[in-house]
Amino acid sequence: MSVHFEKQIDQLRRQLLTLGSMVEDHVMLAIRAAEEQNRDLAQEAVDRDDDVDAMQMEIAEESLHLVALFQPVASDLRFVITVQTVINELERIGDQAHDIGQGVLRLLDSGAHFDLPPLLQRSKEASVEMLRQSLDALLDRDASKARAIIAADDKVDELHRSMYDWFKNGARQRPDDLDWMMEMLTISRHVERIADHATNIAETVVYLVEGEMVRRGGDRAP
Amino acid sequence: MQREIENIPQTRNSVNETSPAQQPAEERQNRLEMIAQGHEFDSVIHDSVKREECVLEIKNFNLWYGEKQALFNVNMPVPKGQVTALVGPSGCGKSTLLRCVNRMNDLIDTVRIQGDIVLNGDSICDAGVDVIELRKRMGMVFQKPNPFPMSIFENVVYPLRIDGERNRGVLEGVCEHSLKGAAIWDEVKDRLHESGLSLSGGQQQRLCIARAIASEPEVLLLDEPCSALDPIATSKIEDLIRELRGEYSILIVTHNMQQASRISDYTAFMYLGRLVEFGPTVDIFTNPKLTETNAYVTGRFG
Repeated sequence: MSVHFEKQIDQLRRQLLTLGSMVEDHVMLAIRAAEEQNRDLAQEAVDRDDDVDAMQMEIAEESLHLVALFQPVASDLRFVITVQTVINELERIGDQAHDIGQGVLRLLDSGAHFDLPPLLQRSKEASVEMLRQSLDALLDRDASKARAIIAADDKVDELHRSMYDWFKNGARQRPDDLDWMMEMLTISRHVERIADHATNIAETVVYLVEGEMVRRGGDRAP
Repeated sequence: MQREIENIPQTRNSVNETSPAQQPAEERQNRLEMIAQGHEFDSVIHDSVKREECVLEIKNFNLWYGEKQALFNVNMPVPKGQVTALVGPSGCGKSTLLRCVNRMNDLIDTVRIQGDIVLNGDSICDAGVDVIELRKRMGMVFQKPNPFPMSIFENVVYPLRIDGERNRGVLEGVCEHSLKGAAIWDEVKDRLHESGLSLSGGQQQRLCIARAIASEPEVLLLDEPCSALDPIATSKIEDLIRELRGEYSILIVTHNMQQASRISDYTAFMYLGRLVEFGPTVDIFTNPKLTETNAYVTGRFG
């Protein structure tokens, strides 16, 4: 095995982990902005998306060069494919964090009432945990941890579905709070998407470790 | 915000040409034929190559073996401190070009040249050039390892011996430094006085590289240095070439395109005695400017 190639692979690994923690921070920031109704945090969550996009592009380009110049095979090839897949998922998670930030800004602008409903509290906790676990599974190349994440996605989907009922009931009972409830439903949707992307990362980890392509059934939440 | 990002981004380069896919079919078919028919052909040299500081500059260079022209108006800067690979199908002139750089073609009576090659500002083609002095400024390694029938130590310090160096301390210092530079020190440090011919093929080739760098050459010329070696020895030489990069400017001829992609910073594609395209290796292997280069690196001909 070429030392030079090993160095390149190692650099790619480090860049991937950097992007992972960058996106994790980004999501935490957006959620804190929602919890604390904080305009500065929300604005930062919107702004940070450019950094995530730039980093994703950089890694995509480097992984492309690695394939073109070194023609990796077997576990090396699976790793490069994993990188290419995971960075796209991370970039989209960044987009969700960006959108949550925008939602918070809209709410603050409208002067609407602003607590996170308990359902959303729960789904956000589950979703952030799934993201964190998926990155851990990637770091540790732990397929069983990854499979646990894939199973956990149903819970977040279920919570998001319950948010629809919450919205329908709320809209009937408190029509004045409609703006707030709309934004909460939207944020719930973003949180649910974050869990979906974390699930995709976990599926990729299974592929990386076991070489088996897995896809959870098509039961994405509405 | 970027929503649906392309999985594979276009690589950055300053392409003035259209990409291969966009070229009209007619042009796509004809360019190689045009070369074969001897039409004038402008090499495509990427801007990033032109921006590099050069160690070597090949200018309007033509070469004939008797009546047969083997190199056609080659213009090519060789970047300093980088690895530059010459690739192309057999008979494209890449070894001929490499040999011109240290005037090895002088040894062939029928060879006639036109044009110039400049090494760090000095023309190497002038009639008055002292070829022996010139060759001290470059190191050359050939396809087959060619250690001299003497000890490992004497092999390495040979370039200093012919310069009359006798100081034992200096010779020992250079020997160790060169063998370390060639990544073979640990394997031979306890047997420096054994014959160079007692080493394995891969070790012999690294010994030849140690000898080539002992005189701290301005440019290192490698003519298919791995083609007689097994994959493990090849991998060691490739790693070594990457290590030497920066300290030395390296020009390497290789038949193995994957090797060019793994080890070089710049790649020059030659065809029938002409330089066709010359650019950063990543661009040549991900997004070459010419259809012909694309066809060659993807294995569609050659």
